[in-house]
Amino acid sequence: MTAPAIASPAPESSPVIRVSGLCTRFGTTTIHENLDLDVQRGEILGLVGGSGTGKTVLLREMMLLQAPSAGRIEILGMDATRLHGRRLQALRQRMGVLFQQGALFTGLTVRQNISMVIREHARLDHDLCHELAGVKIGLAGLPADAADKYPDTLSGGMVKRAALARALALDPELLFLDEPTSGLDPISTTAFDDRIATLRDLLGLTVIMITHDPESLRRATDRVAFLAHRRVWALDTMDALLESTDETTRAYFQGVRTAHQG
Amino acid sequence: MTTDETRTPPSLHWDGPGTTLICRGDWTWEGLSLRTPTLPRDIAGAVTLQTADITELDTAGALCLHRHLAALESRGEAVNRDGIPPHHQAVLQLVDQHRLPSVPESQATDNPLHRLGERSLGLLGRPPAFLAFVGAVAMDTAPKLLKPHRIRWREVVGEIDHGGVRALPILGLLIFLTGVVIAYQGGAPLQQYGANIFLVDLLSLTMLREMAPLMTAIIVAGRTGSAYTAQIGTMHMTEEVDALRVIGITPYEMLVLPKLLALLIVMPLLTIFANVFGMLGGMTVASLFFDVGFAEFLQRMPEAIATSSFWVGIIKAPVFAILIVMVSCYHGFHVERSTESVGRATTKSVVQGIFLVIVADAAFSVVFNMLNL
Repeated sequence: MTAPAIASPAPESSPVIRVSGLCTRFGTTTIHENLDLDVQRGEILGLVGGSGTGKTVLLREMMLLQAPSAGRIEILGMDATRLHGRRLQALRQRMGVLFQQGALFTGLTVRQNISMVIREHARLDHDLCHELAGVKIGLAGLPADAADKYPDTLSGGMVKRAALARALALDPELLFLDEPTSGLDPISTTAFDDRIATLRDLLGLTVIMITHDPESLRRATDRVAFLAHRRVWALDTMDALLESTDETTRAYFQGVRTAHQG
Repeated sequence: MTTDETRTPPSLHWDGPGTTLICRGDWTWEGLSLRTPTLPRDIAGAVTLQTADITELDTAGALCLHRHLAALESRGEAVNRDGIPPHHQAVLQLVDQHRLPSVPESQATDNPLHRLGERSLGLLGRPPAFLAFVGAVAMDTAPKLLKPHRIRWREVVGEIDHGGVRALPILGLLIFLTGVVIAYQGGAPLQQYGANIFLVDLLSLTMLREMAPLMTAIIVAGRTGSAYTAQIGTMHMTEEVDALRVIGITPYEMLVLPKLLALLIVMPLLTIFANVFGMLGGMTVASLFFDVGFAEFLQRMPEAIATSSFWVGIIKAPVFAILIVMVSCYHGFHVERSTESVGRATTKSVVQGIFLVIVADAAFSVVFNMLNL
């Protein structure tokens, strides 16, 4: 077995998320074993790996929806596995999540989905709240007439964008995206990636995204964490990973490359 | 970054007597929650805006600032934006570019007359929809009934277990208590006339003819009917129903027929079970408080009532079963694509199920009365 090719993390600032010694077990199956991962402030980190390598589980652990079996997750300088009550809530307000299926509240319109989040935590006057929700809808790339529609009348791509709008509702510092561009056409995907990059630059977001789209990975991400053998097998830029000489890494990314070229 | 520090509320004020407006503090949603900065009143002439002192600016703050700028400009005042650093400019521009054109909120749909009309049309539309559903179910399931080996007996057995066997404890307890109550309430006046023994007639008649079938139907409608609606409704939402159609299985045959057969089998049995436990409840009270022992009670029973009373009760059960299954499945298949509508449909299913059961029971009473049963 070859040694995992993990690039040394950039030493300039403390990581926004530091996962160390993470283990996840479901019954007798081990998903992660001693997994380490540092996410730097302001970067867009791609999370890839074959199916069943625990990408979504890792993401859920980082967004505090699931407790790891062992190990430590530090988020924004706080030990997230030991947070309770108000401090946990405060930390949650600093993260935005786009779920794979969107997870919009079906009983509310798109705008209500967003303004509900704003109203829950912020005391803004009604007009400002209404307009702010509109800005988020615009930021996510939805047309104005979608604002007052219910989620069940939206197409798959629009649901994704509406969910992005909701994830951005409170200007989070951390944005988790679970397959944000799956089900989008190539043009929308490009627009989505560019939008994420723009938002990162302007609002100082740190983005962690699971994606299978090689084009997205290449264009949008700064670094890519490749999960294999129950740990982060490689962590580097997409270009470096594509050129990797490591066997496991090459096998996966060759597939990705062929898919992209084909 | 600053969650644990105390935030300075955002502010907007004049730099001395001049024409420079200075923004300070925290122009974020958290800051704005503390205070919404307003424009000073005494504005006249050109204004220079300084935002370099803002500690943090997010989209909410930028939107607020943008509104103030727009308000100034709409008054015809010239605003000098040189004092806004480029990164603030960028956020302002981002917000400005993505503001939605305000769509007037539709109000026409929310007046009482409109709602009345909509409801009425909905009501008028419903009976045919329900009948169409019954027809479609019959069309899909009748051919299967002619080939009994093709019926999904495994599912039928599962439904019998869920809807029948697991309902036994709660049904037994409730009907036992019902028997106790009837015996108590009926026993006291009978005792005054020394007619304790007629407690047997009272109990057998009410229990076998009315209470047992009705209680069974109500419990099944509440317990099983709601589960049917929720199950089918959720399957409808997750497109599982469509998946069945695509695979070539008609959903009615797969989802409705086993439930229908299961309840048709199990409801009469549940009714008999209810008869036994209801009578047991009554007999317990009769022997404890009204000196009618178990043996005496059982001896008197065949004299007190005709066997037809028992059959009258049992014959209702399949009819109730059909009503409950059809109503709950109908509502399940008519769930819209929202989680709320599953809840609404389940409520409707239980309410209409129980309503129809009681209406049917009343109709049965009239018919049996005319037939002298």
